[in-house]
Amino acid sequence: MKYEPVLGLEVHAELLTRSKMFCGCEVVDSIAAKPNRYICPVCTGQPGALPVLNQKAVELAVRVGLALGCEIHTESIFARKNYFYPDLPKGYQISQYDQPLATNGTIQIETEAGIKDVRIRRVHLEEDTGKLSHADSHSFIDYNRSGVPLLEIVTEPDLRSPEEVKSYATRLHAILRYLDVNSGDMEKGVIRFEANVSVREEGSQHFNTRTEIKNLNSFRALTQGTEYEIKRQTEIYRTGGTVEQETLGFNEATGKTYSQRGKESAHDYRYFPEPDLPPLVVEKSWIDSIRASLPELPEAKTRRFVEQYELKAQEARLLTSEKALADYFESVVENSKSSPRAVSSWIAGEFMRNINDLNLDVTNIPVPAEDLAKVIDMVTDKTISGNSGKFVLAELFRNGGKPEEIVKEKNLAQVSDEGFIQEIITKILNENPREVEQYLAGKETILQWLMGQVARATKGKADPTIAHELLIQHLSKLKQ
Amino acid sequence: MSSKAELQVDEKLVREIASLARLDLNQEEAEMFVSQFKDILDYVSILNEVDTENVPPAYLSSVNKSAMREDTIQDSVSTEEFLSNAPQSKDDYVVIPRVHMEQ
Amino acid sequence: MDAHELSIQQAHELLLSRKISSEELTGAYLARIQQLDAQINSYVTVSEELAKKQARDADQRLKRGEGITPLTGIPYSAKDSLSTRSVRTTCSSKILENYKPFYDCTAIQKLNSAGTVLLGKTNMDEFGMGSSTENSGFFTTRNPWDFDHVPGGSSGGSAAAVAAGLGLFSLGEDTGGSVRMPASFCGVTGLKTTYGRVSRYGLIPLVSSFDTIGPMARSVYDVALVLEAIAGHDPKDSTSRVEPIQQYSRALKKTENLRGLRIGIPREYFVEGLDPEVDSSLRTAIQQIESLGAEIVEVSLPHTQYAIPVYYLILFAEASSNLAKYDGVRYGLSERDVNSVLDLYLKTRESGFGAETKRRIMLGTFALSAGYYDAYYLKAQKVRTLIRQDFQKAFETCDALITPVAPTTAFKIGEKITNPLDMYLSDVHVVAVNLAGIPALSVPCGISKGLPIGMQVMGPHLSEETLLRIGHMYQRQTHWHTKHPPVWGDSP
Repeated sequence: MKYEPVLGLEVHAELLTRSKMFCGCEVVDSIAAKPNRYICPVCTGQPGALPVLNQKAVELAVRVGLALGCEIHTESIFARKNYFYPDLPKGYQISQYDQPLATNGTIQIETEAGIKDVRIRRVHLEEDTGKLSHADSHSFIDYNRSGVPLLEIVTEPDLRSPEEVKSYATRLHAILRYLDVNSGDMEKGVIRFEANVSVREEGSQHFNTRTEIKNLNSFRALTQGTEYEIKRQTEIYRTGGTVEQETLGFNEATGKTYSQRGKESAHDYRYFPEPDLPPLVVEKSWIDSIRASLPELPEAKTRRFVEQYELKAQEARLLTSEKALADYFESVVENSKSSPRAVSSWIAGEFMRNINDLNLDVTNIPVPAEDLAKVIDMVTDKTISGNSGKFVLAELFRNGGKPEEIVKEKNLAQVSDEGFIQEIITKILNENPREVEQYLAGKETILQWLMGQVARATKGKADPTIAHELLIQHLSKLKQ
Repeated sequence: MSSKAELQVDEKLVREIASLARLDLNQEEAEMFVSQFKDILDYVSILNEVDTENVPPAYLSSVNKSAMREDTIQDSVSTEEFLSNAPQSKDDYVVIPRVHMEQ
Repeated sequence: MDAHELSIQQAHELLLSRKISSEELTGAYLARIQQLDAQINSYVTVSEELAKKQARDADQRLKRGEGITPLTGIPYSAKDSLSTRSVRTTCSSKILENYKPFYDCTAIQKLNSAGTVLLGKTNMDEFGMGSSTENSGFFTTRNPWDFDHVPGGSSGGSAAAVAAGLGLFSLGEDTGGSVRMPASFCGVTGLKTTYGRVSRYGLIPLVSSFDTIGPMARSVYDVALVLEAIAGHDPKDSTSRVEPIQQYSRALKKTENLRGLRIGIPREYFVEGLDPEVDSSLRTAIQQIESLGAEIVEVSLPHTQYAIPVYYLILFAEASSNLAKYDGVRYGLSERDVNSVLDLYLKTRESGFGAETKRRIMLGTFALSAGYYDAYYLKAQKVRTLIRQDFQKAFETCDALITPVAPTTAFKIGEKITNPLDMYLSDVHVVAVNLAGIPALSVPCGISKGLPIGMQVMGPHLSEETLLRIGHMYQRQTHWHTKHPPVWGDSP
């Protein structure tokens, strides 16, 4: 029997506000900051403190809701989610429950079978918890992160494989960065995933019992965790067992999921409307003005790149995967005399190689767009060879400087003087009579070797097209 | 309340609730709560008399709509002041017995 | 005249004319607390050092003639659920026995900037859960009129302190009668304010939907002076009302009669179970108010009998959530002879909370839990809508309503403590006001067997001025608010 996985994803994304969700404490990098510095009565759950909603958090949430095509509810309410945990200072988390801010959206993802719509069930606001660390027999609590605004984005169970899950997560990650609502800095935990996993017989419309995997904090963990869980559940069904509904953790070291709480302590969050906050009213006019300020999103940008720059869809998608990269591409095109396709292939190739080799982020590119444009143009107009272009770009990445100066300093300008190249060729042919003879006897590969000798003698500066032409001319004369 | 007949207030239910509320009842308390729960739930069942079909819940008391604040940073309190109430602290962290996540 | 016999206005005039200093006034009150409070137990904490410092600061202000308000230099007390920076704030719970907040609640902050003098924090039922102060985690406050009787609750310490002359006024807090009932039992004037009229920021919550801070003093006029100082919009409390506050005391000075006011008498509040002497005192009071020019009409609040179950179900639910933060992690009691966090929670909450608090947490946890939410919490909120509508309808034709505050005078210590349901039922006349979020004033209107009787005047949202005018005119015609308990004459 064949089984198919049914997956849904809950994504928690920190919103890029200056202050926290319900108080004026600064939002800081909670990994770098000293513990318990950015705290007040509200975010440490002092008796009597009251929450006041950050307007910017609402604006950013509406932005996401609109970008995902959701219906934005002009009135939504906050609710208390009651549970005990030491990183939760009030004994409840302020969240939204049965009346969330936004519902019913979609994200398009790419799958092997083509483009697929993933339905978004809801988008709502909530507050982050503090952070726990552990050593020996104690745990340590830092409340700097407590009360940082979080956006929760929940899909319908529309995903059918770990690849689709990853594709969805990557796409959402890009959208959040496009919207400038989240830093996208996964290592800092600003985006966290929870996956709902169940498995059923292929073709069935029925949903089986699902488990929920928490703390999936990287794309890798997301893929591994869901893969492992699908296998685990499939194995249970194959051997005639039943899957229990439970909350699971994921251990990145072992690649396995583990049961987080037993059934007897099943959670009952006892949600009820938060009496300390009036209903959240988002006026239609406000929604309209936020809509008007939305940037061009990845899908629209991809379509435009294909049309405007005559790129292939795949190239366009790579360039638009990150807003910073797309912006960089357009800036290079603007500064360059070369074709957009040439620019695209440089960025997809050499440029990304350097980014990856140096472990850089495309949001922080050390080479100014006009410099890359110059390098590409010099190759296009044959001022330098393609290889020299690669060298110059690597130099720019590592040591900075100006392309023209590097070319001059390293004496990389290409030689197109036919007389000079002729002289070199004559010399090489005279010095290597055996190889010439082999070539004349029909061993054509010798031509490449001879080209290599020319390049070596000219330190790579001879224009390869000219050198090739002249070499053929000489050899065909000898043939006669 | 409509399920008054079905609702069995016994020690098991009381203990389940106590566990959710993080209260550690002794035997005497558990038994007392069983009998008091019965009385109180029986008393509040008077609400069943009221027809609330089509009546919206009151929920929130405030007449305000959307009190929001600007996204500006305000001074935080000092770590020292915050920790002065903490039963245990070290290196500016609040300290508690070890939380075991992976069991 | 002894210091404790002064009204706020009289004390203010003496301070202004520099016939007495705030330091002297404060000293006299501190001495009286020292002498009398061992019998009454109204204070949980006396903040002597702070009081002396604030009195000196007030004297400086009075000397310079800058920033003087009617409350500058006036010594007062506050219920121990109002957060006071660096002054122990316990809610009369063992779980907060040594908790010193690092911030002031907004109402206290406003009084600080008016130049008042905080004498200390008053006893209450633990977290406000009770109607007698017998549920205090520390001790029971005694009714100054008769030490065998309760002062009412939960702001029993505040009421007793005002009644015994241990402070010129007190800030109480009313969730379901907690200002009005003790005011009535102790023969003082207390105002339950409109929900949101006084900021709740820093008020340790019992029921966030019902809690209101309100003044308790020896006359309506004094109550008005305090209200002016503490009311108003607070950006730190999203539920606080944005409407500007009125000049309450000025309005009282201009009031000559109650002509043009129509006052309703809800028949459901004058039924079986009402003590005959309470009933007759109320009827006399209503006649006097009529004689001041008000028109008296009978009205009906048909859902009155459901107010108590609705009130308690919502209270249980919200309280169970509001009390979850007491876990021994960040502040307060913490049982550390434990081997896990779960153990820390269980042991701390077991030894920190009293029986009534645990009972209510349990009932609230139950009422909100998955299978029972609709039947209990949601049902209660729906019936609450009907109770609100009763009031809306009554206020379409009436400016105010008059009822008893409690069906009886103060009951005996120990009389109801063993039966929680019986205790809940004593709140029958006060809780509907909190469900509707409306204001209500409690004024003394009689004495029965040596114990005071109280009259409740309710009005629509933000009708404080009207209620104070009715109460003030009544007090100008009558003498009940000037009666004092036997301990009054004892002076240091």
